[in-house]
Amino acid sequence: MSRRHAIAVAVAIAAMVAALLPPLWIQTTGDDVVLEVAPVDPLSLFRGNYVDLTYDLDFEVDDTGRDRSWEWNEVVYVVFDDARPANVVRVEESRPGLAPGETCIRGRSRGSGDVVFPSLEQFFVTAEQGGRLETQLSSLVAIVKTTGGCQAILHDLEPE
Amino acid sequence: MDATEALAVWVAEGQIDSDLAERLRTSLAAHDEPQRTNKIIWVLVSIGAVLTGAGLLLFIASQWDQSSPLRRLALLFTIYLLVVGAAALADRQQLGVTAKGLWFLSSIAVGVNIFLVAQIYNLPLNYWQGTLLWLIATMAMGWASPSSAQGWLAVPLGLLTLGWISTPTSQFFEQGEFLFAPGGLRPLVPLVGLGLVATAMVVDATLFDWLKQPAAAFGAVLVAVPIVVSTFHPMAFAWIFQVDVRPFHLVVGLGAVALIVVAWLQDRSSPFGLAGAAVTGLLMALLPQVSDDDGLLDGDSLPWLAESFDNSELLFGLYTAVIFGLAVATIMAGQYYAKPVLVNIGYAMVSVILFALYVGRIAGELPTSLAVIGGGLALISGAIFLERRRRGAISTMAPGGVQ
Repeated sequence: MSRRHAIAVAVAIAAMVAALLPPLWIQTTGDDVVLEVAPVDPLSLFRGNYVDLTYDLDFEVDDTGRDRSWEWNEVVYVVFDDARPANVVRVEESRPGLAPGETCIRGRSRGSGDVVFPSLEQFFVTAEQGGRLETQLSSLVAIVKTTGGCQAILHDLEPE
Repeated sequence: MDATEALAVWVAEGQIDSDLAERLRTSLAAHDEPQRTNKIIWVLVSIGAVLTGAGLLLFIASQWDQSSPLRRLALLFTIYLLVVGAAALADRQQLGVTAKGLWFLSSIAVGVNIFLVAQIYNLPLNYWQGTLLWLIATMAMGWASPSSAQGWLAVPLGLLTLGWISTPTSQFFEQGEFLFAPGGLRPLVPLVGLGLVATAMVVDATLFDWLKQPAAAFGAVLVAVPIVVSTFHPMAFAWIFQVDVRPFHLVVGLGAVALIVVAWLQDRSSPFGLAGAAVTGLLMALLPQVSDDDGLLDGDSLPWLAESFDNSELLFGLYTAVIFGLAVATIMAGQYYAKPVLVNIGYAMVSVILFALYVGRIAGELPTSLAVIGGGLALISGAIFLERRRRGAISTMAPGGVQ
């Protein structure tokens, strides 16, 4: 193998490892937060079966001590308590300090006080698992792993 | 006109005799055949690489459900290393074209692996970090094993990365949202296209020359399609250039302009650099936004010219004429500098603008049956006329054009 090819292969392996490390780190070191979900079950052409999720976040913008809603697509940080399912404690524009028992997830504002978590919206499953989950759609919670920096990955779905 | 046809013309004109023509034909065939064989092999190897990639994906899929995450990762990296090993072996055996195909397959395998890693951790469908990492790996492999196939992979990866950064929603039907949302890439698509054309000029005769053809082709399409569509109706213009301005737009816009400036600085005498600067100026002039007080579009703002275009047919007609002039200038530049791709794009733009003018301005004034018949006849005769002109323009080009 030429030196150039060796460098290119090294870059490719570094790229694959770079894709692997952040979620592995979150999964290994993150805290659990349990969120109520409202799933549906489409199919991805390229990545197989998955469950599409939206989250039931029961909060009002005014409840969080803010007097305005955020711009569309603005980054916001949602702080949760450790209940099952978790309740929203507050929503902040910058990375929050966390009290014991609190966790946070980085989300995006959709205006009017709505927040979505684009990085947590798909849960990939086998066809068999998908069939099983389909029967439990109304009673599922999402187990999310999240770090102190509010980075999060979707770890599991389980019955409430 | 190809060389064989030229020989026939010269024999008919008495410029050369038939013996000389036959010797020249034999000579041409001797040079042409290995090249043609090489191209066929390259096409077959490329198709083979894609098929093998698809097969690998199916093989991984069949093993996937039963495997633990660790086994899945081992499977992905093993398959990548097997492909790399095969490519290195082909290189060693001096099977140049096969080796290139296998190195291209290794680039595909990187993407497969990245997105299957993303699947293990439930990362979203529009995982832009994945396309970015895949792009970096493809650029490195293109540098090591130059082939336009790597370029045809790299350019869409770059566009997808930009698009998915711009609209971080992740539902399946929203993966293409960046082309439609005002907060996405849509208003900058022509500018990004120009940036790609500039990239094609910058990488010419460098180690990244393999990017030239795909960057130029994608760039030309990205410039031509939105600006032609913007001439269909004032609302189409408003929709295409409506920007929900965010830092993302400033960064991407400045990046595209920087590439255009670099291309111009590299060869200040090139008329393409000047033309690029002029079109950039035109596109930038269309982008400033004003408040949408009359509620013409969804959103708070619209391009500053949109209301004027909506209120004045004359002004919108002038804008259409400017874009039409740009299309004609593209044809002329292509003819003058012997760039068939410019001639083709220019004629495509002219045809679409003329057809849109007929549908939007003329057909509505005619009785329905006449409008449909007239449209059909205009389409057929226009297509024949334009195709003849296009062929004529390309066949009269001087080899290499005016330098």
